[in-house]
Amino acid sequence: MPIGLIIQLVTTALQLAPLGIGTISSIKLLLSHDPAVPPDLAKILRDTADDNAATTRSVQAWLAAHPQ
Amino acid sequence: MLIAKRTIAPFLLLLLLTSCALHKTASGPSVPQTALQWTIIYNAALAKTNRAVEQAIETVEASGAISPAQARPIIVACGNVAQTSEAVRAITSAGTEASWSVDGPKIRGVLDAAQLKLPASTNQSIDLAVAAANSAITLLIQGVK
Repeated sequence: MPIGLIIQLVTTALQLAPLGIGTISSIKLLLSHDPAVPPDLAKILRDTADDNAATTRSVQAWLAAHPQ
Repeated sequence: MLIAKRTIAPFLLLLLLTSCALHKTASGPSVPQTALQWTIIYNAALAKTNRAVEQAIETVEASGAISPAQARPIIVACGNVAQTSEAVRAITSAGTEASWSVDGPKIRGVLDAAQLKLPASTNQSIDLAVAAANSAITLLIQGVK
C-alpha cells in the first residue's frame, strides 16, 4: 500500500476517533513534514521517548487498578 | 466524542478534505528524505497515536461504554506498541545514516517479532481509534522497508 494512502487513512481515522484536537494536529504535522525543512530529529526523538514512557505508565496504572 | 452509525457522508467529506490538505504541502508527504529520518518521524507518529488511543480507551471504559474486559486486550496491546516503539526509537537514536544498512534490518526484526496489531472492540468510536493506531503501525512498517 502506498505510504501516501496510509497517511490519509491515519489522518482520516484520527479525525473520526475520540481523540483530542491538539493530538490530532501534532500527528498530522509530523506526517505532513515538509522535506525542504530539516526535521528537528533530536526533539522528535525526545517527544517519542516521552510519549512511550507516558503510555507505559498509564497502561501499568490501569492494569494495576483493574486486576483480572 | 462518540460517533453515530450514520457517519458515511461526513466520513467521505473528511476523507476528501484530508486528502486536499495533504496535497497542499509543498512537496507532498510521501517524498522521502532518508530512510532513517522517515523511520524516526513515522515512529514518532505511532508513539503519539498509540498514546492518544490508550487515553481514549481508558476514557471510554471509565464512562461505561465498554467494559474493563473489553478494554483490557486493547490497553495491553497499547503497552506492547509503546515498548516496541521505544525499542525502535533507541535504535534510531543511536544510529546514523552510515549505519542504516545495519539498523534498518535490526528495526525490521524488532517489528516482525512484535507482530503489532491492536484488537478491535465492539465500540465503533474505539474501533476508529484502533484503526488509526493500526494504520500508524502499517505506516512505520512500510516506511522501514
